[in-house]
Amino acid sequence: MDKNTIIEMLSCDNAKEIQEKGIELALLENNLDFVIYHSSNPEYANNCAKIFSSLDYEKSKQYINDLFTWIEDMNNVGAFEIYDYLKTAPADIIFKDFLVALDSAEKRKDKHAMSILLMLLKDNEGLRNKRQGKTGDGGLS
Amino acid sequence: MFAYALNNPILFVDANGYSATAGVAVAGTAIVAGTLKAIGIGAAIALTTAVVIGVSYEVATSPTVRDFVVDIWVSVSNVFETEKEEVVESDNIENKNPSSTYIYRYGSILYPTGKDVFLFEPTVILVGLSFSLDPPKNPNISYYMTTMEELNNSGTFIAVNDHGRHVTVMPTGKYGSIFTWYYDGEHHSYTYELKRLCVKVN
Repeated sequence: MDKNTIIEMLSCDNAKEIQEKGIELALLENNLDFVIYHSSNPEYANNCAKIFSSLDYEKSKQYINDLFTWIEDMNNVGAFEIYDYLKTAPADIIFKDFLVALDSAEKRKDKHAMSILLMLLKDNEGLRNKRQGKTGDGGLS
Repeated sequence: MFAYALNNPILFVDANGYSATAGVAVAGTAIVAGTLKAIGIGAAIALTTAVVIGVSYEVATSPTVRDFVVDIWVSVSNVFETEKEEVVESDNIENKNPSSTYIYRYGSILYPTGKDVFLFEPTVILVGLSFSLDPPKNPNISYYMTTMEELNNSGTFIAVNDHGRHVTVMPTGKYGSIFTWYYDGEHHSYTYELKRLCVKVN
């Protein structure tokens, strides 16, 4: 289906059934760049967040840096949903992008973004262990 | 009667009997000695003093200069307000007025960042500060709270519930455009004014 049509279906002004159908159709697409592109628009952002949070982590791997940008300001629509998604993400998948996001926030002196990222570090045990140099299996391997 | 204060005893004082100076400057000295941290505002106070002392009566009371002094006075007053910013614990929020529409801004940034100003969307969408109709879902996030009515009655901001639970807060133009607000960030009059209109909740 045409991607513009899918995006139009994702508008929060549509009936719930249309929005759900839009999410369903978007999830069938292999390339979700168009979803990321519209995630900064409050009209579509909530449904864009729903799409990413229902993805398998292997499939969302290539968008992790965009997801970190998303949660740097929790006022972005859908940011809480993305935060919860990253909270349970495997450290191996998100660690590199987490460090990049943290470094970038430090350079910008963006206190809000830093506090969110540090909160995520606290909430995601795997991430915390990885940052502390642990393997996550008690150091056995 | 108030010639010693350039006929404006509210804005000017004559502390030593020799010349009128801006009341702001006198207050500014106390602030600098005390709690003022914003260098930009310090510079504004110094500039006010220079304008008032260094020019003739006619120039000092001309509409342009007066407007300038009043603008700076508003900025400095806002700093006083900011210094007094009250932080309320989330458990201690009083009963809300049911006829008001409460809106929430998460975190501690009350000025636009890049994404609030520059948009690469093909469609026209409102440009402004994002607020939500919902308090944060995560209790560890502090937030600012106000009402749409408070902002819309201020004459400084327009709050619009544009999509779903999202509210965009835009400046009216009273202190400049959203771009000047973006570039000046936390030291812009809009930021001081918005802080005055919001309650910070931890």
